Amino acid sequence: MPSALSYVLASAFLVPGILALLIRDPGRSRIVGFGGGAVASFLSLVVTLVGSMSDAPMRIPLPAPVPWAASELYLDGLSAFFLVLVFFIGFLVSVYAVGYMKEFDAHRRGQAAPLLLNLLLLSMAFVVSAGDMLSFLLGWEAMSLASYFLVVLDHEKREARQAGLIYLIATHIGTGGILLAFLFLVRTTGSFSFNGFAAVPIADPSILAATFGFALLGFGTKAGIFPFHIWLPYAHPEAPSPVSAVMSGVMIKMGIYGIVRFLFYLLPSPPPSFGATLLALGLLSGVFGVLYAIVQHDLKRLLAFHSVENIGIILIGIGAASFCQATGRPDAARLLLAGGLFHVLNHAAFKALLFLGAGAVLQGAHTRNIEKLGGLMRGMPLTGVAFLAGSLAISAVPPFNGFASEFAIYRGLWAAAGGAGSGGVFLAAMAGLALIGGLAVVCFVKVVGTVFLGNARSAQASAARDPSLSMQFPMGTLALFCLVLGVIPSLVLDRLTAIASFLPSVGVAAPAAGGKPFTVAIALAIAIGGLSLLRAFLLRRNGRRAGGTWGCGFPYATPRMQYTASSFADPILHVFRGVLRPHTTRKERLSGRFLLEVEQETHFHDLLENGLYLPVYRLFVQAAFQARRLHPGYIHLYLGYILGAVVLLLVFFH
Amino acid sequence: MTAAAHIALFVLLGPLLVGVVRKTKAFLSCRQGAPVFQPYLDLWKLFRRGIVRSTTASWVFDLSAPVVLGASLVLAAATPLWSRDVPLPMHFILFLYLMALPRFFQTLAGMDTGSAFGGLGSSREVAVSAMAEPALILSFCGLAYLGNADTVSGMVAGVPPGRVLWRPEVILLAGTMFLLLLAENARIPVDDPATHLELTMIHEAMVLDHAGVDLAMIQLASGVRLVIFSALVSGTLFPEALSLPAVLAVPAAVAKAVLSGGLIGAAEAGMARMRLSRIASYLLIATVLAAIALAVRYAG
Repeated sequence: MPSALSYVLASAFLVPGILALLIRDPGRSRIVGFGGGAVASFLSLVVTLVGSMSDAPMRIPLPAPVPWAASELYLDGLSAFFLVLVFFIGFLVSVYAVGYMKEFDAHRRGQAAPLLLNLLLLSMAFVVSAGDMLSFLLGWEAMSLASYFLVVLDHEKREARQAGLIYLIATHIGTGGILLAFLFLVRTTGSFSFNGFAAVPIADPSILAATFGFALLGFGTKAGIFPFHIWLPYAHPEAPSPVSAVMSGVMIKMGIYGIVRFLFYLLPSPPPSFGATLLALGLLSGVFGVLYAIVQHDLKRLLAFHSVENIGIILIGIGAASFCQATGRPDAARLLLAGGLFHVLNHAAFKALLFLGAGAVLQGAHTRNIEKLGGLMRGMPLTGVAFLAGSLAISAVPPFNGFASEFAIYRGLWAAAGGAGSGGVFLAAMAGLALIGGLAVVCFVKVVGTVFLGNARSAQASAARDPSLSMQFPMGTLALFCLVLGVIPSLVLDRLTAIASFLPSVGVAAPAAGGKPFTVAIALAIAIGGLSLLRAFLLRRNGRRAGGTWGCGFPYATPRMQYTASSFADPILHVFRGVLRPHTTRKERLSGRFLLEVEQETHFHDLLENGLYLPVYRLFVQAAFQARRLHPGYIHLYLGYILGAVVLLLVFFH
Repeated sequence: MTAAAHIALFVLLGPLLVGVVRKTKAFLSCRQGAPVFQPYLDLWKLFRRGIVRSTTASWVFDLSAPVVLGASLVLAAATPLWSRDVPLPMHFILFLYLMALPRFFQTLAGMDTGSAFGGLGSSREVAVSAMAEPALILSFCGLAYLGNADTVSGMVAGVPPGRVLWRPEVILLAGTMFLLLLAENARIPVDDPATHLELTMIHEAMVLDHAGVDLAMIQLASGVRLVIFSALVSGTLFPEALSLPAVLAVPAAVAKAVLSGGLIGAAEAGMARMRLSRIASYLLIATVLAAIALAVRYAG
């Protein structure tokens, strides 16, 4: 029965995608393709929610791709949670895409987008429900390829092709790492299924470390963890906005899924150093991600760097959870794992919301450069409200959902710090998390202030209007979701604590004293509502009039005199200039002794990109050029190679 | 009823504290200065005035003053001032993060009028607060250890009383909180509330386009915030005062507020304002002090 249902749902994703390819009219193709994807996602969401009520894992056998290993889907609580994530965001993004993808109507290739998006959603669902190595890798590769083609959908643009290439290389290095990690497990356990992996622990610590290291490389690349993040700020901005929302909201979480699956299921009792490594990488990702985000001007690139930041926060939760588990702090471990998973869901919601908002801005004002925007709250009030809600959520301002999950992580860290021993580590993590939160506020005050408030900085910004209903609905739903989960986090958190309950615990963790966001939200609503009424009353009595902004006594004129996003970021840039390394070039045009024009450009080069990846890349290119000498095109030389190879083989293996 | 009295005390003490700070500063720099109760009169005046609202501003600007004051009052409801019981006990992490809500709206309102001054002030405000965040969280962690509680009121009231001066971690924590009080409330050496040049301001530059009722709410909120911080510092140093019966506790709270006002005024009068680029090292000092306090706790 579940087997038949899963085939039906899978075809509900694929059939509309294929139909969209066949329909000539681009408008109808969009409605059939993306609309079909939305319906399929919605149905799957309902099925998953109903099905995940039972606690026993569900097994669905699959036709074996190879004769020597059985394949199956194995659905437990963790899989169900990630399935909800895929289908929830998939549903809303598909609805959004019906309206948004209109801009690809002129190109025939736009009609491939529904199939690719549905394939991406389906393959992610497959990844998180795979019960053995082969089906996992199959789903993983399908996911990587579908997202690659979506990134290069706009392949006439050079940037999109370049971003696609970087992404393709990164994702395959990642797949290589995952494959190696799995092969170590296969060698030790002699099994291909996840349950088989979990049954036999790896005894040799160096093999265990190698397995974890390769898994971290593979999943970390997909997740965009700090040293492996460089593909992310290229690929996210170039993909069409709904695709960015899926990639940033859901796809990079597949890396997190992999790490959790390995650390808590497949590798029984990992040493504390694994968790500590993840915790350190999480802090690095968080701080570097938000610092690089602050100095960006491209709205979507900025959001992409925030994905690195939030993956860091998730990793702080998961890494600390593993560390606590290994050092005998089971209660804290539960809280931390549940908090980390909760942040996975919350980040998916607010980041998808922000990317969809960025898409609406891009469609309305035709630019991603925030220095050319401004005052959009007037023309796009709905997008503005939704984007503001997303910004409050991502900055972890209560009572929004970003805070709810960070609070759970904080509580776990705090509980862990209270125990004996290495408490200082957790306090340092708390301080780091606090710094990340503070810097996120800087970044999103900058974004909302420059994009939506003040005066329009260009003609196209003042002409921007709210998008169509199909794009408004997902943004509104997500904004509401962010608020509701922030006010009543127990809706999800209790369920996640149940998922994390396989971690042994001495007792149920008591709810935090004074930690009820619900009470605070009510108090805030009363206070702010009452004061707003008071203000309205007093203004009616005392009078209000409209006037220009105070211009220091000078007639206030141009929008160019507003504070720019670069100036806004300058204090932080100044403090962290050692990390951010601004690179400024200045061109002056002189006429005699008079300065006519100054042109100044500041670029921020990713430390790792120049310091690590480019040199390695150049080394590879050089090696490839050297290797080219081996095949100069003479057939007799090639025959000589064959002869040499045969002789060598005979010498060594005969 | 007690909830209303609790919040009312914060609202009433706010302008008094500001007045005492100004008077002390004036006295120490050999000036006459305005009367101590002048801030009340200013607020009374502003509440009866209409506003001039920038044509550029959106609804965010209209909402900012109620959010700033409302959130500050909710924070006040969680701060112990004259009793260990507060109307709204709040986890210290929630308390710290809730401080970001008024800041978010205040700084957005600064950007909303399209004024360069607003942007200037907002940019500096968020940068200073972001860099103060680690020190804040570490000192609250230290307090929570000392008081053995997770709520703000519980941890301040739970600081073991007696012989505070012999305990280095209490002194370090109170000192850190005082440094943070100056930074978070736009005081010298981080910001100068009385400067004459908009270019050098932080807080005042941000609220330049607020007038009348809006300005009154924001000034009231600043007063309340100052009382919140001074209550945390003085509560840490003299936790006994929170266990007194209400007849004595309320005058004690007023006395503590006046004393902190004097201390803040003296600190302001004795220092020059720092260059903006030095603020980071000032806040780093606060972070290190808080870390030392925690290390003392681990060692002891």
